[in-house]
Amino acid sequence: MTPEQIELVQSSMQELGAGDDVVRRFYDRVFELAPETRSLFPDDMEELRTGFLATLTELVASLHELPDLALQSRALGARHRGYGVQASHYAVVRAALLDTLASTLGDGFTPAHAAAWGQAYDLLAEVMQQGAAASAGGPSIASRRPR
Amino acid sequence: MAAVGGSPGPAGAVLDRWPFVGRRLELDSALATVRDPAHSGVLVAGAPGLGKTRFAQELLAEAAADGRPTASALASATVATVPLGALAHLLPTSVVLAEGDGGSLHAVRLLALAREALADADGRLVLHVDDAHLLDAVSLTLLSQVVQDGSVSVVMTVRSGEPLPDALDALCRSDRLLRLDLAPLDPGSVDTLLHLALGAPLDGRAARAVTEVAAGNPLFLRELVRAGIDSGALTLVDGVWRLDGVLPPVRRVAELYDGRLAALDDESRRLLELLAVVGPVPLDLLAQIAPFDLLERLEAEGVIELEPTARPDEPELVRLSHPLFAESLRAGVPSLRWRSILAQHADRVEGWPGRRPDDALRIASWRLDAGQPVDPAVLASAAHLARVSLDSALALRLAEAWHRSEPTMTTAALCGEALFELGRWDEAEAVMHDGTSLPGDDPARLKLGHVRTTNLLLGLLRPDDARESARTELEALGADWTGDPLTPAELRSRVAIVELFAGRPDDALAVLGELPPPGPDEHDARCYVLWAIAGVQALALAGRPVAAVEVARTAMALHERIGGGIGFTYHYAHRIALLLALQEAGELTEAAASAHEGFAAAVQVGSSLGQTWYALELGRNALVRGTAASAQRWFREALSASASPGWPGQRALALSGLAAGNALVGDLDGARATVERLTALPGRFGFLEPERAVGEATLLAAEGRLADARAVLLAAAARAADGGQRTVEARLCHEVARLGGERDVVERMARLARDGDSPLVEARHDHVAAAVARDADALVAAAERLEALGCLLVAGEAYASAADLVRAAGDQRAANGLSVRATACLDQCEGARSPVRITTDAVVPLTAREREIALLAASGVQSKEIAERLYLSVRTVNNHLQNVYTKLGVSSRAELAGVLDRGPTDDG
Repeated sequence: MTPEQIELVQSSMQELGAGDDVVRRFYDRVFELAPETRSLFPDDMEELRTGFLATLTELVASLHELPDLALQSRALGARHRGYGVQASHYAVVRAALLDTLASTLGDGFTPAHAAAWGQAYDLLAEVMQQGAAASAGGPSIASRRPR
Repeated sequence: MAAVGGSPGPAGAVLDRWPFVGRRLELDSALATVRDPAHSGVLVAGAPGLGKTRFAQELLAEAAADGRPTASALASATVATVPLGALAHLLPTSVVLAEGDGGSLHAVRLLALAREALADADGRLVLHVDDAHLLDAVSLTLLSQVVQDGSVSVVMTVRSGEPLPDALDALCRSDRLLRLDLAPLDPGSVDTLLHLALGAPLDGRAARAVTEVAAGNPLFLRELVRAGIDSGALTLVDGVWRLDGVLPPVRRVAELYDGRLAALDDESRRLLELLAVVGPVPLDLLAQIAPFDLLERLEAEGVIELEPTARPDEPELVRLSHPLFAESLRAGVPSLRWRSILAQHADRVEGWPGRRPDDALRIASWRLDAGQPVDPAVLASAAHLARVSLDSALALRLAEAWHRSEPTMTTAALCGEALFELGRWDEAEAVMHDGTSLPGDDPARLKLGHVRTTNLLLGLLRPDDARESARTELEALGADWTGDPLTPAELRSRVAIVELFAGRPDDALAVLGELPPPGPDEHDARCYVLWAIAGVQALALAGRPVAAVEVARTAMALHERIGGGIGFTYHYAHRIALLLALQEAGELTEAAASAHEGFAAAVQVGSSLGQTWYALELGRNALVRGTAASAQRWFREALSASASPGWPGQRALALSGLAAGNALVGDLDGARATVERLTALPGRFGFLEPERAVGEATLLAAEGRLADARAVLLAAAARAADGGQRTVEARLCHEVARLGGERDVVERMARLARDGDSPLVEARHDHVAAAVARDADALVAAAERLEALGCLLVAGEAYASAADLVRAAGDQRAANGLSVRATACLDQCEGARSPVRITTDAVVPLTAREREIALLAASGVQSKEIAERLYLSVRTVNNHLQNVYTKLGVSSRAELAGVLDRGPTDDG
């Protein structure tokens, strides 16, 4: 991301407000795009909805502080792996998020905003999936240093 | 491994191991495939630098988290100098060192042992094979087999854009593998990758510049960024990366490492060159050559890495982290230094207590390349392994080295054998001819003689020279031979093979003498097996295939029990002999089933000679049945298998069979072209040679020239009789009868049936005798016999002939019944057209003369020309034609052609 893009995302985040409505529409859109994902979520989505906006706000705020962002996102990703979330689901969420933002912000959501949000989402998604992945590391030469 | 998927580097530091970005969907897909028992794994293809290896490593990590055992193997040009080089570290020593035990270990068993070793893991192994396009031939064969049987989940990476060897190409198309083609990363993924690797955002200009040059290639990106930071063009200012000026010029993937190489200090360079030249080196050994600090530093810079091991008792190997780097390094090493690196390392490994037994092969290979003398014992072991693995090119290289250092009959024979397999027959003869005057004991002399004879017979097609040298050696033994008691039997066996391939089974049997008893002791058993090598086929062709089948089965069982090499058999030699005997006896179904098995095994092992022989058998089988399309298919297969190196004798057999098949389906142009190719082949190959007449004759018959066709067949039958190929003679006579010459051959066939034991020859005779006697019941009986044996084409013709006779006698109903049976047989013949068939569906049978004229007329030949061809007057021809029209109920040539299902041929 460029600094300008980070700025775009952070400012439009503020405009979203604390809308419960936004989150509801977001999830509706997810299930519209991929009905089969409904079963991954609990029946009662109340708690989830409140948590979602809070998490998103924090993540967006940390976009300039990569280490903090990474720490949070990794943990988040690992949890999501536990829920059975796969790579293909990340793509669905991306689409749903962008659609929801567009419908909420209307004309205020320019192509530049879309590109910036897309990049932000991709960044988060990659780090989350890093957290979800099994480690591809093995022993290193350094770890084999004779005592 | 340092900083793997760990936190992004603190701002300002660039990660040595960059994050894995943009491939998650593919990874999920690949993981699902690895978990699926119906699939054998994944093929990851892509241009260099796109991240194939990293992808495979991530996949392996996921599989390991699933609880699967994992292992990895890296193929490279250096590692391929030893057979099984890439996979050797995964297999037990007993397999890799394949002790020479006189030849009973052969490729099939070697590979079976290797497969067992791989399947012997706790759960289905996930095997990562990197750069599969650089695998040695044997490793590739092994890999193909495990993909086929699904015993291992393979994750192979292949560099796209390289031409692939055929075997690898075939493997890559296997539907048991999921193929993933990694594409360059899209700009969004590139952005993410840079952001994560650099730990901070890039400003617009920097991002654009880097993205544009790197074109989505992660390796490129990494090197470009590194070069940019080193040169000061890329700097971190206030938490954002900026570009000042221009990026250093790294335009092509090939130049990627030039800057790095130039910047290396001597010590680093020496170490990296070692790894580039000899391949991965155990860490413990490397630590003796270079300070640990240096190793750690190079690892931190992402230049070398520790290769994950499969087994806990295996040494951990250090290797260069990217093959492109290895290539750049290798390219920069001048040849003298290359040799000295190899020589030094060979010394080093030889003196190292941690040395593995299979290092012997590698040491031999290094010393060879370094131009040093090699321990002959090691060379012998290496050469044997290469030979057993059917890696002829490698076997030749090792054999020649051994021959240069210590020329003996044994080394000459090894060189000769490898050269033979590679199709370099003149060179093979040259080295083996000189080899006869080299030192060697009796077994060595025998071996050399065997290989030389094989080369003369099958490679150079010089049967007279082969005969002379074989007989001379036999005679030289004399009556008072006191050497190895097996030698006379070995030599008789060899002479018999020569005679067999020269088309003279009677002479072969004469030199072999009486069949020895199979026991009681091992010497007797060996003599039996030696007799059988040529004797089974000779006996079968000479007219006693049923007896031959018995001998073949006994010999196979004996050889299995004794083990070891006997004579100069290929491991499938007994099976091929048995096949021929079954075929000549008329056991067509069993012969075909066995041939299919043998063919599949030969394909597995990559034996082109084996494939050729089996395909030829299957083709002959199909011709005798009359299944034309199958016949064509198998003879084409034989041509394909024998294309490299072009076994001339077998190719002649394949072409002759193909011509017959072509003509049988009415592809006259094809048949003609094939016959031309056949005539153009050099040399003589007597074995089954008279059968080539079938192709030529069928072609003539299809053109309506029945008399000429019969003449060709009779001449061939005479040639067959001359050498004693009596089952061939019987077949040719039968063909003559089918074309209207039954009276010419019936007595001969009676004698052949009486003197031999072949049910097929007997059935052929029954058919012909019944046709001569115009005895419908006898024809039906013969038809039934032929049908039971599986000879559907002639069985159908016999039913049809019987139908005609019965119809003429007034029993329409019975006639129809027989016609139905005829059709049932002929319909299974895959489009074969029979000259007999088309003229016997008539209500009233045509005479032989009428048949001839009808065929010619229907093909568009004018009466005047028919008259010339048949030495008749035009008026006579037209009279006959009128009779034909009446009998068939037509009134013009066009209608005639319609009834006979025939049109004008190109040459009218």
